[in-house]
Amino acid sequence: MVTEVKKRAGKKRTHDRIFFACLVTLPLIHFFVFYICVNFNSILLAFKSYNSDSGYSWAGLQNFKNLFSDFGKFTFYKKALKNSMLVFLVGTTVSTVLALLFSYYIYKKASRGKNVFKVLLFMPSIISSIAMATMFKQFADSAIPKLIQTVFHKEVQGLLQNPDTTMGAIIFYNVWIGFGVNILLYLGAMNNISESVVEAAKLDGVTFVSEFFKITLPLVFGTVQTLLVVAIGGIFINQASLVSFFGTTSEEEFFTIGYWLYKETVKNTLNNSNAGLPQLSAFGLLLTFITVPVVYLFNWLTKKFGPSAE
Amino acid sequence: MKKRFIVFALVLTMLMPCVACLGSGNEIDETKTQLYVGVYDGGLGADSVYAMAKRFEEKYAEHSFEEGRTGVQVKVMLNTYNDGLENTIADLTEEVFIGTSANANYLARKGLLTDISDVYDKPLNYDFVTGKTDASAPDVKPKDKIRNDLKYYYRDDEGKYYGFPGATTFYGLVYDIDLFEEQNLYFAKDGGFVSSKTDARSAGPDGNLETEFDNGLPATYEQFFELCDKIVSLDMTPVMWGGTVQEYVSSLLTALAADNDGKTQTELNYNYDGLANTLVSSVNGDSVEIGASEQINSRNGYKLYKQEGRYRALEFLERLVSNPKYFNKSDATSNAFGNTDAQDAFLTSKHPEFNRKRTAMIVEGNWWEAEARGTFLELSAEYGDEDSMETRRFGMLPLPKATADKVGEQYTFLERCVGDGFINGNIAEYKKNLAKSFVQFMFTDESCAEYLKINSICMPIEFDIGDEYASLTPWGKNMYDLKQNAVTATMYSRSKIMQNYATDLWYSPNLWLSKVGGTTYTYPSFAMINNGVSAKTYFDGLSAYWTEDTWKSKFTDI
Amino acid sequence: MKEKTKRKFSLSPLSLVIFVILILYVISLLVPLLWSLLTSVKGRLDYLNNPFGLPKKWLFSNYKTAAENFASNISTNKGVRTVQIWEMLLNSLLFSLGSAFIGTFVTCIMAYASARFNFFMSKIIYGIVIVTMILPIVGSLPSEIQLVKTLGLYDSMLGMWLMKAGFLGMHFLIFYGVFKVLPKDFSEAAYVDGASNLAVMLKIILPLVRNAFFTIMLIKFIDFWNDYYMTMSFMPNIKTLAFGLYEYSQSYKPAISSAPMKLAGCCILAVPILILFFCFHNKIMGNVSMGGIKE
Repeated sequence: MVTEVKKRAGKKRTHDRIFFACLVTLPLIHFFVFYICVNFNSILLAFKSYNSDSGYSWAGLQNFKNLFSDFGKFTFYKKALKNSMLVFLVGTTVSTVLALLFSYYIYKKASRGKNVFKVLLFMPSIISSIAMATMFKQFADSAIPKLIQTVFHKEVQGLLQNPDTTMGAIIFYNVWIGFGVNILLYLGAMNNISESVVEAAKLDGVTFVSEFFKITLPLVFGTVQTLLVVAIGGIFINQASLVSFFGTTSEEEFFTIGYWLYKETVKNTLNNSNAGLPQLSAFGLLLTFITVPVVYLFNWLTKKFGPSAE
Repeated sequence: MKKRFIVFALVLTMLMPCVACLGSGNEIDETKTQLYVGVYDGGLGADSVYAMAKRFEEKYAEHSFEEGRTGVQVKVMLNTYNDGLENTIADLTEEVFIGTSANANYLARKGLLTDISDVYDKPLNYDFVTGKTDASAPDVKPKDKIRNDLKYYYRDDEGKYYGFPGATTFYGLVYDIDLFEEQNLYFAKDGGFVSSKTDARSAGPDGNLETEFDNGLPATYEQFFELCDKIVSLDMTPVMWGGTVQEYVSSLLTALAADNDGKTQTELNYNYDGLANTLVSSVNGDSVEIGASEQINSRNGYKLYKQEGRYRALEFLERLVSNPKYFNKSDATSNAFGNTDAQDAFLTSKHPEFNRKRTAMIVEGNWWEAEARGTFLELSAEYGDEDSMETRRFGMLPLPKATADKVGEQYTFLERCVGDGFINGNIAEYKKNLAKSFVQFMFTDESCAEYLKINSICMPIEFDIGDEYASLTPWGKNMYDLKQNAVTATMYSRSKIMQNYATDLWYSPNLWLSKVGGTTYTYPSFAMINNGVSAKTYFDGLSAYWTEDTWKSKFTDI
Repeated sequence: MKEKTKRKFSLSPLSLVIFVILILYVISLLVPLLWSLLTSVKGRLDYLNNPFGLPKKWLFSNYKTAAENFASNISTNKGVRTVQIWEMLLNSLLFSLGSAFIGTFVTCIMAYASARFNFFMSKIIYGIVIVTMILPIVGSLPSEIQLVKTLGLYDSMLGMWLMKAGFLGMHFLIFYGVFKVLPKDFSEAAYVDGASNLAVMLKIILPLVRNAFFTIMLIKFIDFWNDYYMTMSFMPNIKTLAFGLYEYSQSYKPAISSAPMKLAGCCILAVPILILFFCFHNKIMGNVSMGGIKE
């Protein structure tokens, strides 16, 4: 009897294997062709150097060595790191909390206005980023100073032009436009919560607040966690919309790591020189080495200590 | 669900005829041979190319290039031909490219272009299509008409040519001639300002009364700020620029530095070969100590950041931003105020209903009128001919000298020829000579004059304007006068840095990186306005940033 | 029943606070949007001396001018042809719908496979997604274009769809999360009944994640709709609206160089997608009555 079950399980296992292979083979080939083949050379660049006469040559770890000596020489690395962390910490915290609360509110309360809210909140994701940035610039740097001048008769600089408020305005902008997708996903998850669970809780007399913490949050925590993983993974790629505001010539004060990587890549390709690419590639690899363990650590920690659905 | 699909489909189908009625033009003339010409879709537009194409079509109206077709149709296509061209050019229909933002030398090295050496070498009266030489026409060769530095820039190691230049561009201060005359903003011959249009004007920065176009304009920084004070006293704004284009201000500084250092010293920044003799050893207010001369090569180019011109330029900016009334402070740092916004504000400030102080000068490039064409058109539609591009008079201000002892020196303009042109390497054999003939056609006096007439800026080609001078716009005349009276410093050389890092050198922000304390600044204007950095500190910061290490890390392969 | 719970909740001060913030946020979105719509029907001079008020004259003709100026040339094997805006619209739809569907489908299948089957390869796939998401790639465009050309996919709609049939990116993680928390009871029961893997996936699991599927497809659709860079690089002769808008916004043609005209161009790109959104938002945004594990 036991062997019979084992046999069947074994057979099932083989079937699973075949089925699994059928599902993943084509996408993996796609991955190999369109990712590995395309990017292999770009990643190898990290270990090469460029000379305009002779092209690329093997350089071993020299790029990484240069990188570490550059960290001490140039001030922007530290600033960019600080800004990247700031954008990540403040931006992610605020937008996660707000997106959760908004979704919860719409999910629970807005029965009639529900659709209106959903559509409006998703608006920034629909409209192209060029248009959103243009509007925000007009608002922050043109409308606000004019408004203050009319009301208080005081001449002030716009939010983006005053160096004291620039970074704040940029973080605000990123939060402001960054919600839509998150709300969509949270709402989707909340709407999937089984009504019997909610009904049962109701009999126990939950309130608006306690339902959120006891039922809703644990049940959508998977989505929260996924979005946080995405945010962590993007810490050093996020150029924080700086390109929309400053093109490739922002003042160093406002650099993020992602912005710096982006603008240097653009500059090197524009030059057709390629000489700077190896160092950039090395930097990218280094950042990946730092971030990947952090993501896995985060996954492990949330699995261990995060709210569970039980 | 189905209903929604239907609604959606209905709305779409309703939208389509609305836009479909715009008609789909397919203006290919099947009786003629087509020559496809790609033109950069930028501020200049393609009007001059259309004009030239028309004359070119007439020239070969009777000639047959392929079986069953007579004559040629030049089909102009507009696009943003940029760095991506490397990947796409072989697939494009365009056979001749004009004014692209791609790098011809680079594309040529990749084997993507057609060799046009014979266009440079054959005289203009040689006809590529017929193979005949017209003895009655001038026999000058394009390579003798094009500016020397450009000739060397485009010639490769084997002596072959692949690219040809576009328009000459430079930055400076555009001033409103009408306003200057109306408000007597010119300096008088005997000191002070003129009090009427007929008063004799001072000699201007070139110290020469005979060259009329700069007479009465400020000769020194001192006079320039005297002028600013006068403009402020009239409740107007002396200078403005767009907040999103701080690089325009940096470019103005580069222009000021070039005018101060002169041609030879300025060109060291691009050819890295020669003796630098304006290197500053110490600065104390207005007095500048010049140190020992240094032989410059591509490895020690960072030493040029001590050139006196750079300090003088910063000094100019320091004084300009020291008084918030001298410039449009709020807009000049605003992220919502771009170069075209600044142009619009500059032009409309003439009319009080736009609630803007009248502005006398704007930091701009010499192509600005082409960009502002739309605004000119709408202003003249509203206010009549008075406001048209043909009537309103603007000029590029000959830059004032830092110190009185420099007055009398000729202006030095630092020019960049934007927009490489070339012939696609992937062109049908029977069209090669046609395309070459078209490029050759661009070098004729007639085409150059036409180009200036339409675009109001010059090609970097020597040409005789003849009787056409009178028909130029006020701006076009000003450009021609300047070209005739100035020394042109060039950015073009065969130096490795120039060939491989052109963008770094052309693009002014990178020329003004400065390390002050723990901060690296990109824009002197921001550093001074927002952070109160002084000219001296910023100047010292240039050398603090541009060290041997930085140089090596920027230009890794020299 | 529902009505009752509502009344009970509405006294909570927290919900009031959230409501106020929500309203403020919505207003902050509406103001610039209305401003853009208003500006897009102003004349250039009107905008210059009155950037915030109502238009002096409502120039709806701006939209016609904008639509006309979207037209652009492309090369064909017969020479050059002018593409009008409606053709771009069609291309945009084909490109965005096709790519979004294929991309979402592949991602969904891949996530299903790695979330539900506990093989070593599953962990590898998850790892691949994480690493590729984090690793910044510099300057790989030329080799990508080269590859696409070699495979004969350059300048073809089918080629673009194929290129987009990958599973990398954050959407994989979302599907992965969805499949991970999906109770196993449903599929277990089916397996006991002797259903095959394929049948379980198609008949039981996929219908359950309909919501997520449509949501992600919508997100992808919008991304592709607004993406001009990919089409510019990989299918330069199949122009989409976004590509058209990019060229339009770069242009200095006098007729369209003013701020109102530029905004009118932006609105043209946004309108079809807004219509689509208003028509389907219930379907797409996980309405209570649709899909999900409801009882």
